Amino acid sequence: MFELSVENTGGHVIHLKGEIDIYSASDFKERLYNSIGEGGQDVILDCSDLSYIDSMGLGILVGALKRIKQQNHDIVIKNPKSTVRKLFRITGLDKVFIMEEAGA
Amino acid sequence: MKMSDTVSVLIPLKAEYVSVTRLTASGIASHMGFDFDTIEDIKVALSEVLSKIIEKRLSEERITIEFTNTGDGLSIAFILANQTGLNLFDGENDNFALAIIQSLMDEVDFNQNENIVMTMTKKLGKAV
Repeated sequence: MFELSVENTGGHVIHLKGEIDIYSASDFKERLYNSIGEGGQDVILDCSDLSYIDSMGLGILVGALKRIKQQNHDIVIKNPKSTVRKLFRITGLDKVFIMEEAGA
Repeated sequence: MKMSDTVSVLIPLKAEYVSVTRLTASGIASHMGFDFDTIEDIKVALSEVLSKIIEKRLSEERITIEFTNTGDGLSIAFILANQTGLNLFDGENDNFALAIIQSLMDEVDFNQNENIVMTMTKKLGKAV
């Protein structure tokens, strides 16, 4: 089960919920790319309710970041659970994305 | 689950069944006494392997995932017929998956025989 919702109050905040794996990856990619458009602003990905993401999901995030970086903007990974954060650390992506913890 | 006990799960090679095997792994690992974080690691590694097999369509229709209590840990074998020499991680976008699996599991072996694509083991009491 995976859900993506967009909050349009001020900054561009995208909430991710559930599991992103091989089953939901194509849906995730399509909805994420639609949400960020041409990448004309910073995007905050709220991962508070994201329970699982696999390498395929991480690859999609990297693709989205490339698109946004072309417009000199960034993606912020906000409040990832420890299990999700660990995958960013293992793959080195915690140095590529801006990681923001709860209360930071 | 006692030492040398084996549980086999036979699933269709379809994306929607990966989450089912995650649940199975969770139940077995929990029963063996792994802690929460380690169980999550095992689930992640298992999913990465299955996703690659499905993505590359290594087989006909079904795959057997064999969970074995080795006494000091949990061994998980991915069994398909006649798959000698195949490399799951030879694509340019496979480095994330391989890095994750090798980081989270204690032992990873490929192609032990013509039917085993890969085996990975997590030792009890060795959290990452």
